[in-house]
Amino acid sequence: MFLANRVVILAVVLLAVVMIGFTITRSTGTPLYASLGMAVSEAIIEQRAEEMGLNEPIVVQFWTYVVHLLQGDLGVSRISRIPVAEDIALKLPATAEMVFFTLMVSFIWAIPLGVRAGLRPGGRLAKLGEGMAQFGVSVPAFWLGLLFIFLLYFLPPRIPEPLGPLPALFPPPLARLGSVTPPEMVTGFYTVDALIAGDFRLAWQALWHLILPAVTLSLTSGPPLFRVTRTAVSEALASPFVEAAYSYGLGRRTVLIRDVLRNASPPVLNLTAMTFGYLIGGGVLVEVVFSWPGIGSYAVWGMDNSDYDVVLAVVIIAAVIYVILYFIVDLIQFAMDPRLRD
Amino acid sequence: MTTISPQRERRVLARTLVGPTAGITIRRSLFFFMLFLAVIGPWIETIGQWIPIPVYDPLRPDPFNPVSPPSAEHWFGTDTLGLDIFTRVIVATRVDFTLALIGVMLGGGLGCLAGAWSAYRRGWVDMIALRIVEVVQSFPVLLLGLALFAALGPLDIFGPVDHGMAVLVIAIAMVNFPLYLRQVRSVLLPLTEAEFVQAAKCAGLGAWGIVWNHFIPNARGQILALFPLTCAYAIQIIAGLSFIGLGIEPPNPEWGSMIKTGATLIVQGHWWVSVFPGAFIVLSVYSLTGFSARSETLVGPGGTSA
Repeated sequence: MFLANRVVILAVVLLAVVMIGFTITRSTGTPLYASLGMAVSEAIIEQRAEEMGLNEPIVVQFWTYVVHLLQGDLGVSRISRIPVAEDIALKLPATAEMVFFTLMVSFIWAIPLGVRAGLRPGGRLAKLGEGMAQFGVSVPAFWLGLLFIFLLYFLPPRIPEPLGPLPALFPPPLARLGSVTPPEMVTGFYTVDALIAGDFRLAWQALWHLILPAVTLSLTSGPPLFRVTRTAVSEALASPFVEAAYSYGLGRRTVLIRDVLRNASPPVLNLTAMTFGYLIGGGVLVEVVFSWPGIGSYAVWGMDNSDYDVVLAVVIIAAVIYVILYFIVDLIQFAMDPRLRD
Repeated sequence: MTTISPQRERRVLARTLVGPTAGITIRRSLFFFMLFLAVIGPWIETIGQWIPIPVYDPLRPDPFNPVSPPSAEHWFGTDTLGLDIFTRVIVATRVDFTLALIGVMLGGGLGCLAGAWSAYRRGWVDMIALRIVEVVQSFPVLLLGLALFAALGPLDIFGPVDHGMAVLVIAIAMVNFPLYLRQVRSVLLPLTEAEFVQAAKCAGLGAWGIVWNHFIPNARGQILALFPLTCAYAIQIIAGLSFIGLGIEPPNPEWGSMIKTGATLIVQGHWWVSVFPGAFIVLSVYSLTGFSARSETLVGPGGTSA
C-alpha cells in the first residue's frame, strides 16, 4: 500500500514537473524564434511553425514534448548549437563531484558535532556546533565563497615579512583543474578518473580545487544536518529502548552504538540524500563564484544568453533528480522500517 | 498538542517584540537598527547634511574616484563607477527588506489559508494541496527563480511595477507558499475534530468562518515563529538572484548585485566592494533568525522545524 502510494506520487510529481517545464517553454515562445531569429517573413514563420508542430493541439504538443524528453532530447542550445543533453552529460559530473565532496565535508563536522550535541547538550562542542549552524544559515554561500577566495587565495602571497609571503593556500577559482589537462573521462569525477589513470598528482590537484567550493557549500548546507542529527540522537537517547538496554547491563559504549546511533540514523540518512538532491541544483551560486563548470553555472550562462532551453533543461534535470532521490529514500526507509509495511 | 490560549499567545507576541530576555538583546537591537536603516534609507543624503557622516548620492558616479579603499571620505570605499558603498549599502536595506516582506506576506498568507483549508477539509483537498507542495518544493529555490525569470522575462504584465522586482516577489511568494502551508496544516490537522470546531459547526458557522475564526488563530504562534525566519531566507534569495544578475538591475543599490560588482575585483584584492554588502546580509539574516528562536522557545515544544 505504502509502496503503491509512493509510486503514484512519484508519477504525479514527475508529470507536474514536466508540465511546468512545458508551460514555461511555450510561454517564452522560444522554439520558434530561437530557430529563426526575429527578422523573417510571416510565411517562413508559418511554415516553420507547421514543421515544428506548433499548430497541433496543445495536448499533442505536450505528448511530443514528453516523448522527446523520454528520448533524452532536451532541445538544442541557441548559442553553441550543441544538443543540451550532451552539454548536461558533460557538466553533471562536475556538479555531482562537488556535491559529493560537500557531503564528505559535512560528514566531518556536522554529524560528529550533532551526535556530540545530542549526547551532551550544553557542552562546549554542542555550542560550537550551534554557533557554526547559526553562522551557516546567516551567511550567503556566494559571499562566503568570495571571502574564502580573498583570504586563502589572494591574501597569503601578499603577507609582508617576517611572516610571508606565504604560498597561495588554494588554487585560483578557475574551473575544476585550472589550465591542467583533465584525466580521461571514465566516471566524470576528476579525482576518481585521475586515480584510475594512476596519476596521483592530478588526483591531488583535482581534490585541491574541490576543497574551497565544498567547504563553502558544506558550511551553508550543513546546519540542518547538524540539527537533525542532534535531535535524532537526543530523542533516541531518551527513548525506552535505551533505558531497557542499560537495564540489561550493557555498557555505555555498546548502547551508544547498538541503540542510540542506529536508531538515530534514518532521519540523518534521509536528510543527507535530500541534501544531495537539493544541492545538485542548489549550488548554482557557488558554482558561479568558483567558475565551476557544472549544470548550475550552465543554467546561469543560458540565462545570460537568453538561451531558455538550457535553463529549462537544467531546471527539469535538477527537479527530476530530486524527486527520484526522494523516492529512493522512501524505498530505503520502507526496507528499513517494518512499521511502514502494514 | 500545540494549542495555546489567547492570553499566552498575546504574551508571546508581546515578548517577541519588546520583552526583556538576557542574551538576545544585542541581536534584537541589531534588528531594530537594520529596520531603522530601512526606514531612513532614501533620505540618507538629507540626513547627511545635518550630521557629520559622509553620505553621497547613491546613484551618482564619481569617475575620479573608482575602487578607492575605505577612508574618512568613503567609509566603505567606492566601487568601479566610484559610487559610495556606505551610502548604497544603507539605501539597499529598504529594497531588500521591503521585497522580502511583500513576498513572504503574499506567499505566506496564501499558504496559511490553503494550509488551514486543507487541514479542515482533509480528503482530496488535502491530497491536492500536498501534491502542489511536493511539486513546488522539488525545484531548487534558485533554479525556480531562474525558471520564473525565463518564463516571465519577455512578458510585459506588471505595468508600472518594476519587472525584476515583481518577478522577485513572485519567486519569494512561490517559495514561501509551501512552507506556510505545511506548517499551518501540520499544526491544525489534530484540531479538525476538536470540540470548539464541533461547537462552531453546531452554531451554524460556515467552513470559511471556522477556518478563519477558529483555525488560523490557533496556528498564530507557529506562523509568528516562521515569519522572521522566512523573511531572512527571502533576503538571501533576493540577494542570490540579484547576484546572478536577475531582479534588481545594477545601478540601483541592492546587496546581491553590489556583491556581484565586487566579485571580479576580489581576486585583485579590492575586497571592500563585496564584503560590506555581504556583511549587511549576514547581519540582517542573523538578527531576523534571532526572533524566530525567541518565539520558538516561547511557544514551547512543537515549534517550527525549519
